[in-house]
Amino acid sequence: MVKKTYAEINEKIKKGDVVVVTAEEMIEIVEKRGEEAAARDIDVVTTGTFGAMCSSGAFLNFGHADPPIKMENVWLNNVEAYHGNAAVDVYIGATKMSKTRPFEYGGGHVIEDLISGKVIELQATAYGTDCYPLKKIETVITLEDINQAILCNPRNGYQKYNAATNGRQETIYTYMGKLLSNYRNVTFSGAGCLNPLCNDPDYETIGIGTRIFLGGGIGYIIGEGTQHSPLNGFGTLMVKGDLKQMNPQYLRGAAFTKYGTTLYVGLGIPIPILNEGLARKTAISDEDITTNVLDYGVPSRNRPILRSVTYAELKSGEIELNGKSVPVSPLSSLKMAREIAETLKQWIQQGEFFLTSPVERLSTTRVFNPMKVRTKTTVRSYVKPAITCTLKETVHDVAKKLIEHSTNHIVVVDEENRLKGIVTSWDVTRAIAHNVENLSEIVTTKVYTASLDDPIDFSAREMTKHDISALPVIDSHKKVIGIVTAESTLRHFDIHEH
Amino acid sequence: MKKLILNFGAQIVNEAITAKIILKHKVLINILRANVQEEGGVFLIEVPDEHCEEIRAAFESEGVKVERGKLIEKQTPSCVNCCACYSTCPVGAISIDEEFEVQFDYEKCIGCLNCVDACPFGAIVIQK
Repeated sequence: MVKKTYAEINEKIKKGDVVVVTAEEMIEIVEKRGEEAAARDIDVVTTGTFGAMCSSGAFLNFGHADPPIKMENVWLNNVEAYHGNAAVDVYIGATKMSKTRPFEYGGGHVIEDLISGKVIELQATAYGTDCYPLKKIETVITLEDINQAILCNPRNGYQKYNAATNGRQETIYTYMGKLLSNYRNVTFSGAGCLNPLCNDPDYETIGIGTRIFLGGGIGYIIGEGTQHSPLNGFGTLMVKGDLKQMNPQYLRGAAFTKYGTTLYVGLGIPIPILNEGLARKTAISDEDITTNVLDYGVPSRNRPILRSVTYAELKSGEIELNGKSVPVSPLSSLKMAREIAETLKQWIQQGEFFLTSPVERLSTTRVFNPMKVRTKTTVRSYVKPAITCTLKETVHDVAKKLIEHSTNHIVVVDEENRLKGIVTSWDVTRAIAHNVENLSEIVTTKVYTASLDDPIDFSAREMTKHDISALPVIDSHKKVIGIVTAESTLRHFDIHEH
Repeated sequence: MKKLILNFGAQIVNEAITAKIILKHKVLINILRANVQEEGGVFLIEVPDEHCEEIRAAFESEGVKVERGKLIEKQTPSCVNCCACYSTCPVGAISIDEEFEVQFDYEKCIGCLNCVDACPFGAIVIQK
């Protein structure tokens, strides 16, 4: 039985004879020497990951102007920072986008620019009080000028994450990157066997107070992350660190096309090998870590699972999907993840970084609940009966139906009520103006549709995107159930706004 | 196969130059992309290696400006090797090496620009 303590390992670090390996190197060591020998020989295993972590941001304190200002609205390089604290404390969030360069520059870029030493434009307005009379300020700041700059990320370092693909007929742009139509590519996130939490899945050593590598500097774990979901292996971490020590190489602003901005965060956690169990756990390989490939083309919280997959398969660059070989992009930089684990290893070997024992463990039982929504959110609540016709009817018949039912859309069906097309009042007006009598000449046959369980917001987005005013609602046999119109979705958004 | 970019000026844009050269030289020229406007046209063609110089000379003698440049370029300092671009390439011009570093084979690139907006760091730049 091997039993080591944090104090013993730190003593070795001090003396310079600590043995540190990366999580990738540990796999072979345990395989060759066995758990017990590995636990005896190896003192620390280092992990690392470098990926998009949207739940990131920084607290900044600017110090007081003279006369002082109680900032109410604050912008840094035109990116709005949150001000709900005392006079000159703000939080700049990674995903907040610039008002002048949205989808291109955001809070993540402001943080990167700050640690690169760049000059940042600060604008602030206020309502003015007896003690804080100034109502407007425009100045420039650098990281050096401000008092505290604390990276404080509510959710980082997912233990593992879903892989993404897209079954729609069109390319979609998501937080999982660009997903080509018809399942033609897959993306995934996380560094697999190098991921910190994967190497300590029972959170024995990773807890509140654990000293870590964060953005190229020293940081700490301050708790479980938001959406921490240990029961299904989706644990997360809340971390903080001093931005002034960090390095822009390990903290990079990023912009996902048509999705928004974020921050790539470099995170590395040392795991002390206190016993054989930890030696075994840190020897986890990519083959041992499985996740699911989900269809992000389905705009719902419950995206369909297409298959299960290991990180080894994902990292190979290709997986099989529906019988075809499909290319797979990691969105996390695996090269940087290795570099981080390697850098942390060197810090420990050189006696620059000591381990801390957690003051409190992270929850191993927390459940991540979905949001309860009270408003009606699916097409089911907005569908109306469709006024239909068949192709045997004439333009004149259809014109009469439009008037009789005071509607703008007639859905064209066959004898079995299956969708064949759609005719609008505009189509009919044009046909009458040009003396067209044959209905089939004016029917739109390429019809965008909705299903009863589609989110209404998705249907509204479809109508806006294709510049149309209604979607026939169909079942899985293409039979027409009803129609949802732009008008009824307007009612939905009106309710939401009041 | 070698790729050539052909620039047709406005005064020759409506001449059947490519067809003429194919018939005369009996070389399989693969037209990968074509953009023809009133002010001129740009073609991206693929030519068998051994005929590359002959075909280049043939187009040049017809007054076509021929280039061998890159259609896109990876800006190394901006790239973090997240490889988001890799899976969007339809012709396998982007690969990931053993060090998990992304590699571009510009010879294979057909200039579809699929990778450009897949990059979260704006590291893939279209060459003019």
